[in-house]
Amino acid sequence: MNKREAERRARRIRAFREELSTLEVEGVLHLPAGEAARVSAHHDDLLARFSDAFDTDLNEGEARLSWGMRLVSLIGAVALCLAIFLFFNHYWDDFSTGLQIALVTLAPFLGWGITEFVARRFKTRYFTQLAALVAIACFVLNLYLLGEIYNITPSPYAFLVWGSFALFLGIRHDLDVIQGLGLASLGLFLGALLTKFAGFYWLHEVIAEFYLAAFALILLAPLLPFGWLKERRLTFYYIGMLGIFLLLLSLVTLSPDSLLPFDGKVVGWIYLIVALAAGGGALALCLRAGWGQGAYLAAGFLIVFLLLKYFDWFWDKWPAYVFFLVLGLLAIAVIAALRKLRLKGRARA
Amino acid sequence: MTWMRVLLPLAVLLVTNVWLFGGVWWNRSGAPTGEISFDQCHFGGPGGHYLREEGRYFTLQIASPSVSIDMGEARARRRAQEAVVLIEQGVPAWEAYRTQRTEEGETGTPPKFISRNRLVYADSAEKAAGLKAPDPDAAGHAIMRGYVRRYDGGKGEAVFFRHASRLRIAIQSEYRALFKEMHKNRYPSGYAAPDAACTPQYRITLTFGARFEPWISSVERIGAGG
Repeated sequence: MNKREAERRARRIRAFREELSTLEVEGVLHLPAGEAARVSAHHDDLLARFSDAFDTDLNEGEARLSWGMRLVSLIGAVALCLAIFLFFNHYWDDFSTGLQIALVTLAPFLGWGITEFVARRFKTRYFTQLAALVAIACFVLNLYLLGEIYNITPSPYAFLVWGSFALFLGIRHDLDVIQGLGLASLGLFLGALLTKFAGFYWLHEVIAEFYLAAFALILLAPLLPFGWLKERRLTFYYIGMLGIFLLLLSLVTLSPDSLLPFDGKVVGWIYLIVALAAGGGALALCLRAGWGQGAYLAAGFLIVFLLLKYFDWFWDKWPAYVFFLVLGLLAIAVIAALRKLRLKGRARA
Repeated sequence: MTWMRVLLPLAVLLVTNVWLFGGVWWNRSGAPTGEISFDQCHFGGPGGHYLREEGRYFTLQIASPSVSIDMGEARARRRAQEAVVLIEQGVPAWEAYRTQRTEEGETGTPPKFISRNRLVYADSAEKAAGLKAPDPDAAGHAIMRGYVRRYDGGKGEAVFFRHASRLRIAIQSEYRALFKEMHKNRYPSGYAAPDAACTPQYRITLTFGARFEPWISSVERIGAGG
């Protein structure tokens, strides 16, 4: 059993216990005392084993705390990285070039070692995630500062090694956020590499189609027949969708360079249709698959996208009160449509 | 399998750092591909190189004359094309640039934004082999990785400008005190002193290696008025 299966089973046990106690209070079901004790002891044993092996939450309170800890570990990692960066920035000019090179070279190795130590010492993954984020930041500084010291020409391959390091570290410690960072970096690498292969200067030219292709590859990667890809498919889907949605938003609102051989306005309209189709299609697929986080992401994208376009089209043309009145009426219409959809679904069920 | 998962991130760190230091060694070993020298008076002023106060690095200022480049319509639609650029110091590329700027209406002696550093992009190509041979009369030359960017000329025609990817040159710690001193003398009240008030005291030499990446190979004292 892996961490995800343990978490799923622990959630089912918690839901079962909650519902059983409600049924008992409502007088619908009373398990015989011996059986109830046997089920409870079995579940206690399972939860204790899951918690020991995978640091899963034992109850709803712990699950809520876990979200807080996840958030705090992210903020803590950012704060620690800033502290390291600002400390070295403060004293950087007092160090000799040799010492600077030694420090930036050793930093990611030290970060990797600390991550391994923390993972073995503490069973909770939040400390490991924090250490892993600091190790990644050290590796980013490693390449950036050595590039500065030796006047090296910037290269997209930096994203390849940063992404590979984060992905391998994430897989090693089963950390979704770290794997996601790694995939995002690999997506940027693929986009930049395609730009470079096409002959354009990758650092100045953001040709959206190249990056769209890169994140589409990430989105579709779990279709390949590899077990480890399928195990982590949700992280691939999430990063693929996030990358595509952000690029579509930039294409429709900021009008970056496009490969399509049409006038800028025509390109804008084409991508408007593509964005609506992608957002709507992703929402429908996520709802059908019962993937809540994906559905939230797709719905969030559609809302932001439509609001931006609405602002773009009507803010200058209508008085502010009409603008907000129509927006409010639109919100009511959407609620009514969704309610009707829900009723239809119930009738079908 | 577990040991592989443990060692894969470590392997990425090792291979990347070995690759990077190997690249630096390869760049600096063997025959240099270019060399440029200038004195500390080339820092500051209009169009001069920019030297930071803390002596961490300086930024090269290289003049980029507008050029017409035939890239084919599809490629020319895009703005920045990857390229290698040839930089020359002094005549005749510099004189051609001065003439161009003067013809464009930037009159005056010396024309506005033309400093004494006399570094100018002389050619660009997709590969280094496609560049013209450096002018034998040029005081110095170098090849750098860069790009060619398209701009609209204003009369319905497109013009191109050449740029190097990295103009910032790191200052090694052994030279840091000298560059701080240069900064103090060159910017006595926070602004660059006029060129006429500057006496060359230091000669800075930049060497460019096999990967066209530069480093400060020497800073020599040339004495007052030298």
